Amino acid sequence: MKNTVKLFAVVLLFSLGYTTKAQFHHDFSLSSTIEDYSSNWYSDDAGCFLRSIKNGADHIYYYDLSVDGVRNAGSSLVVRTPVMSFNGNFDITIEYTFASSSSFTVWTNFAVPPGPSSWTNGDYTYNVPGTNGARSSYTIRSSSLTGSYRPLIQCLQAGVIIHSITITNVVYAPGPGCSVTNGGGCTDSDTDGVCDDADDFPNDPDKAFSAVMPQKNWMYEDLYPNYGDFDFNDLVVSSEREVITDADNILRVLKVKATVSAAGAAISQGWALELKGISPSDVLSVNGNSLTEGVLVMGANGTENGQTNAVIPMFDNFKTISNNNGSQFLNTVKTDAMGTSTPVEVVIEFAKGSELGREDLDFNFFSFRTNDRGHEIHEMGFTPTDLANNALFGTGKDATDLNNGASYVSVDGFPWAISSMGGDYAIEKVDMVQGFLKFAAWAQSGGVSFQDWHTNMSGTYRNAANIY
Amino acid sequence: MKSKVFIAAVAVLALVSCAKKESQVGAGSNVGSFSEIKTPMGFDFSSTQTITVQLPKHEGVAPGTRSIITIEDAEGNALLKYNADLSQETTLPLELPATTDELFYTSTSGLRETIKISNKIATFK
Repeated sequence: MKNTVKLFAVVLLFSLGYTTKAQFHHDFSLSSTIEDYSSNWYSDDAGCFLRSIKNGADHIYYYDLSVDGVRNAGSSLVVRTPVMSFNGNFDITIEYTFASSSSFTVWTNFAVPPGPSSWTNGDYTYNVPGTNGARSSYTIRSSSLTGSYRPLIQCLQAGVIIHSITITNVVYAPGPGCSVTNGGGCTDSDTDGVCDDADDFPNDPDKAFSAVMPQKNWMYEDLYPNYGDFDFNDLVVSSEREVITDADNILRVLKVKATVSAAGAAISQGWALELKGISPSDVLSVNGNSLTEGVLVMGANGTENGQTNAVIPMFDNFKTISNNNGSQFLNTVKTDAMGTSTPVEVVIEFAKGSELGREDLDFNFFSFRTNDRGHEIHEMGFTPTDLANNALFGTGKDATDLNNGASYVSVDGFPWAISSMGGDYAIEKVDMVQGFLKFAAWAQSGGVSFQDWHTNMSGTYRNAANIY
Repeated sequence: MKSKVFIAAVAVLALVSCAKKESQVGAGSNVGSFSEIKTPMGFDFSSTQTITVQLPKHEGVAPGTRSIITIEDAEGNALLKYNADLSQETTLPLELPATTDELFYTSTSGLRETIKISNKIATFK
């Protein structure tokens, strides 16, 4: 039995390095014991190095034989040493390699008993020198502590490799139960290469990341190519967009939630999205849109036929997804009953083989007349789709000149469609300049001044009586 | 004499030009309708900006070493999630409100860091 205990102690001393009364020293090797954190930063496997697969790549370090040190795939390297007893002044020295000559910063901190997550004496050490790929030693912390703590060392730089750690004037007692763990192990249920804790879709190998785009409001004047009353509420659509990519950053799904906020118009309109530069064949399927009028010719994958770029209608008539509740218009007259509308949530799935990324998304939302598909209205500078009626260009007040990059711009430089980050809009037949009091100054400054014209709620920015 | 007249004419033109620019930039409060707005050439009424997110190459990192980058807005909405190859530089476009001048990321150690947007470029360190 005594021999067994001795052997166990020898194995532990070998695996955790050697200790003397005065210091802790460990050379990392294949035998280094690195345990996974469970619930207590101080006491979990107190005799072992600790890492956290729950806290992401920075915390998942492992011994790499090819470089004879511990490393990870994070933007920093977090190593938690075993618990040890401090006796006053101490130095922490690491032997390390960093490929660049650039210096970096190290954060040290000390887990306090009994845990689970209390810390003391944390501090930064700046200008730890880069080593140009050579092994080098550097004392990263000199301080004073008394009592038992678990030190944390965080090199705030991707690519640092630590070969050994020495802490002076401490007593370290190896604890039982340490086992050797190597590799970057984490739970990856769908085996897509993204750990479950970082995977927004941990059980779907075709999806890994979800990101949103800023909410936006599109406002239209529907008498294009002629001028109207400039209330820009003939059709108001708010949208939310979510982009889903896989572990290789390939675009897999685009979700668009479109809500008709207002419609101060009699003309029936639809609303659609052209994805510029994306072929219809890159789209696998489209679901969730509202197409009831039979005015669009659709392909089997849910994109509109006859288009070079993928065009996905969100709805083909706002009147079929909204209810004025007896009012003449939808939510543009304050004294009228408030109307409702049902949001459409369109899910566009992209073929994996498309090799598209999020960066390939180039949105071109536009309205079109339900009973005149070619009558499109885009934001200024956005191009018409292949099915737009180009005969409208140059008529009325329109000054579109596609050869010179001018589209959906009037002879006075005005748009028929405006998008904003705000959710509100002018009331019926009131010029939007009369509601948003800084809009004109913003426009006349070329967008430099009063960029918050639509979001600032102060009295000097808006006349609330003229905003719905 | 001719050169004096020429200089005077240039000065007058310069003054007129400056006055016009000031009236355009500073005006607005006296504009009562959309049709009175005078915009600078090329202004497209866009309320957004497209910035470039730069993910720099990390020296000393083995090819194919990846790290998941998450960039958020001030409200904590994830605007970009990207499985970046740290061994090479990556640039990505990102559409933002024109008013946005900083982004945020939370490092895996839990620290919330700020990324300032400068000249429509946000560099992730």
